[in-house]
Amino acid sequence: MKALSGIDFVAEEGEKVFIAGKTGSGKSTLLRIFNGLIPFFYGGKLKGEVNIFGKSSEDVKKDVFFISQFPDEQILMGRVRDEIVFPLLQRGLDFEEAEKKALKVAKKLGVEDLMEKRTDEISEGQKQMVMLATALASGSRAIVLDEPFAHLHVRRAKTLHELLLKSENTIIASDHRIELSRGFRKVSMTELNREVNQEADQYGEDESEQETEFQVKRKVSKVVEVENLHFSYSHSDQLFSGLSFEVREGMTLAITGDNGVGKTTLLKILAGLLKPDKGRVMVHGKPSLSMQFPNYHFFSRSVADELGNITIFGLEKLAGRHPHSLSAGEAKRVSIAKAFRSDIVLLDEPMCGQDTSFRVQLLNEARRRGRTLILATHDEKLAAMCDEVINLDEICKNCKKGS
Amino acid sequence: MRFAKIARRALEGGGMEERTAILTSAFLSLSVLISFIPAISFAALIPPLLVVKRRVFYSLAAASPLLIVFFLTTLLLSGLVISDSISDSGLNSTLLPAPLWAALTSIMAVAALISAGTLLFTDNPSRMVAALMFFRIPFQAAFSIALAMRMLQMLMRDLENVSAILKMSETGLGYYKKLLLAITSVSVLRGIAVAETLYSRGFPGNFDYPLKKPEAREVILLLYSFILFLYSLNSFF
Ligand SMILES: Nc1ncnc2c1ncn2[C@@H]1O[C@H](COP(=O)(O)OP(=O)(O)OP(=O)(O)O)[C@@H](O)[C@H]1O
Ligand SMILES: [Mg+2]
Repeated sequence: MKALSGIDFVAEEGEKVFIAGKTGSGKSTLLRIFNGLIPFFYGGKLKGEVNIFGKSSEDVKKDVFFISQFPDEQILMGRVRDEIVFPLLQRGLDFEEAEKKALKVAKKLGVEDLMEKRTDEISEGQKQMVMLATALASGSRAIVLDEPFAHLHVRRAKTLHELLLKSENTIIASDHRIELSRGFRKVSMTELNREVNQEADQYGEDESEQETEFQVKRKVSKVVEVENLHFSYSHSDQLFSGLSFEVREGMTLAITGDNGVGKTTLLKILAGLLKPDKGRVMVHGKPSLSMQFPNYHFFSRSVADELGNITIFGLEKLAGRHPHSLSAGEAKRVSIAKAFRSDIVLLDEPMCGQDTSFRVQLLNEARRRGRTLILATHDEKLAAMCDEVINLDEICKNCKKGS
Repeated sequence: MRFAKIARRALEGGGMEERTAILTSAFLSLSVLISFIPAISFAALIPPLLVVKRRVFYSLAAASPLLIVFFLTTLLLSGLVISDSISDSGLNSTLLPAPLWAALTSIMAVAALISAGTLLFTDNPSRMVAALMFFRIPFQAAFSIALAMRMLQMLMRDLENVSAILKMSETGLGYYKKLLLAITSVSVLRGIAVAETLYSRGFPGNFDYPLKKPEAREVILLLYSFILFLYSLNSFF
C-alpha cells in the first residue's frame, strides 16, 4: 500500500512547522521518516532523497528527538526523574548536572511535582507531559512531535505551545487541533500528499455538518447514581472525597478537568473496573467503555467482525482492515463505535486523533440512538455541546475544603 | 484480574541497597541449591522476610500455581522412584513418609529461591542497572533487565485493561480464548513499539547513575547470607 507520494518538504534550522492533516492521512508516516525510523527500522520502500542536517536519516538519532502518539511506549524508565534525565546521561552528562537541567524543564512545564512518581502510576496526559519534558531537556537539535497536545488540558497545551515557539530547536509537530498552530508555519498534509490523499479525504470531511435537534423526550429514569464517592489509589492522595451526581437516560455528560484530576479513574469506577473506597455507585444497565488508548483492545481479525452489526461514523470504509493495522485515530473511532453497542456509552478522550467534524457526529449519533453518553474530554467545544458538564477541578477543590 | 493485581503488588519492589541485594540474593540462592536441606532453605527465607516483608508473600502467591505443580510432581515422582538415597541420606524424618518429605524439601527450596529473588525487585530500576554495571556487567545487558521490568509492568496493566474490556462482552471459555490471543498480540506489539523507542533514542550511549551507600543492617544481612553459603558448602563436601 502506498502511504506517501510526491512529497517535497523543507524545514530550516530553528523553524517551527505544523503539519495539519485528517485522520489517516499519513502524518505519522511522514514524521517517522524524519528520524530514520522509516525505512531503517520498519523497512518499506522509500524513493527519493531524505536529508536531515545534511546527513542520511540513518544516523541522526542524537539530533532528532521523536515522540510518537503513544507516551506509554516511549517511557523506558521506572521513575519520572530518571526518564527525563536518561537522554542527558546518554550524552555523557553526570547525574547531578542532568538532574538540574531536568528539573528546570519540568518546572517550566509544571510537572515538577511528578518527578518522584512511578511512570506507570501517572495519568496518560501526565505521561505525555513527561515525554515532552524529556524531549525539551534532551538537547536534541530538532524535536518531532506526533500529536503532542492530544491528551493535554487546554491550559497546559497553551503553556507547551508557547514553550515550543520560544525554544531554539527545530520543531515539527502534527495535530488535529489547528488552533494550536498559531506562530508555526502551517503545512497541510492533504496538499503535501495529494496523490495519495484523494481517497482518504472522503470520510469525516464535511465540517459543515450541523448539530441536529432531536426531539428528545426528557426521560426521568436515572441511569447512573453516584453518592458520596470516595476513592484513592493505594499510595497516593485522595482523588474523590464525597463526589455525588446522577445521570438520566439519554443524557450526554462531559467530565472535564486538569491532567491527573481523575477523569479516567471516574470512568473506570462507572464501568465497574475500580471499586470505590466508600459511597454508592449504581449503574442501571450495561455500560461499555472505550479507553484513552484503545489500540490493543481488539480481538477480531477485521474491523467488520469487531463492530458486528452496528454501522456508524462512516467506518464501513475500514471494514476489511485488520484492527491492528489502523492509524491511532482510526482505531480510536472503531473503539468508540464498539462502545455504542451498549446503552450506556463511556468514552475517554473521544476527540483524540479525530477531525473537528467528529464532535457533531458523535453527539448526533448518541442522541439519535438514545444512548446515555458519559465522556471525559479536554475539548472545550465538545464539552460545551453536551447537556451537562462536571468539572472535576472545581468539585475536587470544594470537596478537599470540605474534608 | 486478581492475579495481575497480586503480581503487581509483588513487583512494587524496594527495601535493600541494590549491590548488597544482588550479593545477598546470590549467596542465599546458592546455599539453597547446593545443600537442598530444608533447614537451610528455611534460614534463607529470613533476610527476604526482614527486608521485603509482606511482598514476599505476594510473590509466593503469584507463583503458587508453579509451587503446587512442583509439589505434586515431586510427590508422584519420588513416590514411584522412591529413592533409598533419601532415606539413606539421613535427612528424612521418621514422622513423614519419604515421598511427602521429598516433596516438602523441594517446595521449601523453590519457595526460598523465589523469596531470594524478591530481593532483586528494586523500586529504582535505574539504580539496579548501575549496580549491575558496578559488577562489570555491560550496560546493554544490565539495562535490558530494567527494561524487562518496565515492560512487565506495562503488560500487567494491559492484561488488566484487556480483560476488563473483554469481560464486558464475553463469558466462559470464549473469554479465556480471546484473552490469551489478545495478550499474545499485545506483547508482540508492545515489544515492537519499545524497540522503536530504543532505536529512536540512539540506544545505548552512556549511563552514569549514582549508587546508594549500603546501611549497616544491609551489610549484616549480607554477612548472614555469606555464612549460610559457607555452611552449605561445608554440608556439601
Ligand atoms: N494505577 C495507578 N496507581 C496509582 N496512581 C494512579 C494510577 N493511575 C492514575 N493514578 C493517579 O491518579 C490521578 C488521576 O489519574 P487519571 O488517569 O484518572 O487522570 P485523568 O484525569 O484521566 O488525566 P488525563 O487527562 O491526563 O488523562 C493522577 O494523579 C495519577 O497520578
Ligand atoms: Mg485520562
